[in-house]
Amino acid sequence: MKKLWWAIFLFWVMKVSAGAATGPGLPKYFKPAPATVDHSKFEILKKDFKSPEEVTRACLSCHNKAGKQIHKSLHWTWTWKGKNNRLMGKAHVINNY
Amino acid sequence: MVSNWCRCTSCHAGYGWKDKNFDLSQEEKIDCLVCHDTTGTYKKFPTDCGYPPLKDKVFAGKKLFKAVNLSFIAQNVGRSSRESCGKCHFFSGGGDGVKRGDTDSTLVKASRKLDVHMDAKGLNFSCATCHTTLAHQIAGRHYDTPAPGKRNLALPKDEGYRLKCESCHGARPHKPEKGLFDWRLIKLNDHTDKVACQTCHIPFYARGKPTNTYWDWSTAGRFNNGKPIVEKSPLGPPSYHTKKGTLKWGRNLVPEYFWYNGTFSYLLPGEKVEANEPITLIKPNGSPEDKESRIYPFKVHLGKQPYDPQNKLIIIPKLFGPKGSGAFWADFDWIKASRAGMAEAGLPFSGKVSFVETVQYHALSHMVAPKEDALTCASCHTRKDGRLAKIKGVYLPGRDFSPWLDRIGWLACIFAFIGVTIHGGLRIVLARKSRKED
Repeated sequence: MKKLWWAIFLFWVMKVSAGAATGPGLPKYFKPAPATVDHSKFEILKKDFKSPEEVTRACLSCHNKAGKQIHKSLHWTWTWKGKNNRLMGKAHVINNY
Repeated sequence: MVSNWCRCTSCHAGYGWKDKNFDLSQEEKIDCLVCHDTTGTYKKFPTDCGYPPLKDKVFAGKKLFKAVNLSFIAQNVGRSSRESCGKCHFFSGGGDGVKRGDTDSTLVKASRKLDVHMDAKGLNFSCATCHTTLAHQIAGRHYDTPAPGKRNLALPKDEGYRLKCESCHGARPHKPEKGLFDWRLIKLNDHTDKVACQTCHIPFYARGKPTNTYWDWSTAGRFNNGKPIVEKSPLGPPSYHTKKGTLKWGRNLVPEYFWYNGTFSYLLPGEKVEANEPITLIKPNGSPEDKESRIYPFKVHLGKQPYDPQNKLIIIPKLFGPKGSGAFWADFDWIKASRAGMAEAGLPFSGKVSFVETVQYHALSHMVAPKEDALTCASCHTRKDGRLAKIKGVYLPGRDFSPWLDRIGWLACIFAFIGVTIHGGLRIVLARKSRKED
């Protein structure tokens, strides 16, 4: 009987302490990390762009791996090689809209 | 998309995909700004093959697209946001919320009620919070390939994927609000091997904008004294449109539930299919026997669309283009539109067009409701008309029963009651007797 009372007491202590640990408010993990760059300070972006391709060239002059990365992405290819080499992706499938 | 290039590619992350000869190896044709604009002023013109308006331009005679200020936008690039992803993804199907049923523009300033994670005043997730991105490869389900990551807490060894509910919530996600233990949650946590989180936590879909539930192309092309017709439905979007046909819309809809293992099957262009209606175009795979499968909510979309009865092929019509090109939205002739579309797709066309009913399914995974709005036990565990009334392969207590087992149970209850009454009664009577004898 003594053991049982001890167990109940311990459980109550744990319950109370766990309750105290979770205070109100929202977790802060989801705030985006602060930026380490201010793009408006770059000379290469301070010009009067005449075409969007000019902007892309300026982006890629620093982000020199981004072009190849995009070329591999579904957002660029609109093609997805599925099982048995079935060609899918927005450029290939049909829907009923 | 084939043969309707410049309309469709207005959502391509690039510039100038105007026909099948577009050179996908050009780097300068990449559109960085559509994803990385943070000013909210960058827009692509709906019919310019992915280009933004460089001069003020009017779309469809109504909507003004202001010239974009490329320098201002370029100087203010940053991370993607709900707004930047939404510029295309909220408008799939040709309008706000039309196709998906669980993503629309109301997510830009989402309330907690609409989306507990994107709640602008709360957790304020962006799309990329879950759709983790490494070197511009954005995690997600890709057609027949399931989304990456395991159904468990995402740890650094899991290559950074954080796409699934379980990535953050774990496989036993229900935790007591106070203390360490709540006996009611044990059984709830046991559900996660057979019931996906989305099933209970997305109790309704199309909770923002109305979504399209039925699209009948066969009635398109009617005119009133030579003028196109647009009839509005009570929910706002058109119930009839000369270019599109007859449309049905819904809001706050109850999903349909199927076994789903994270993969889909597609009927591809050129694959012969009998006209057994409805023809399934895109469907989830899964079965109760499959360990990877769980019960999952879906939007079901019905359509009626052109079909070549001789070649037994779903027709890809040319919709968009100038007059005389065969485009349906210019010439309003299904045979011409089918001929032009199928020719460009490199597929045969017999010259005959009929209309067939088709169906496709959309997995619902967005607009997760707050916990107080989740389904309750009785939504499924009920004798009649429960949410899972049509689900096969599991014994669902409350829905399923065996009359004999029920009878035995009731008999046991009655006997127990009688036994307790007799035993208790005897004890009371005998106790009084013994007290008197003392």
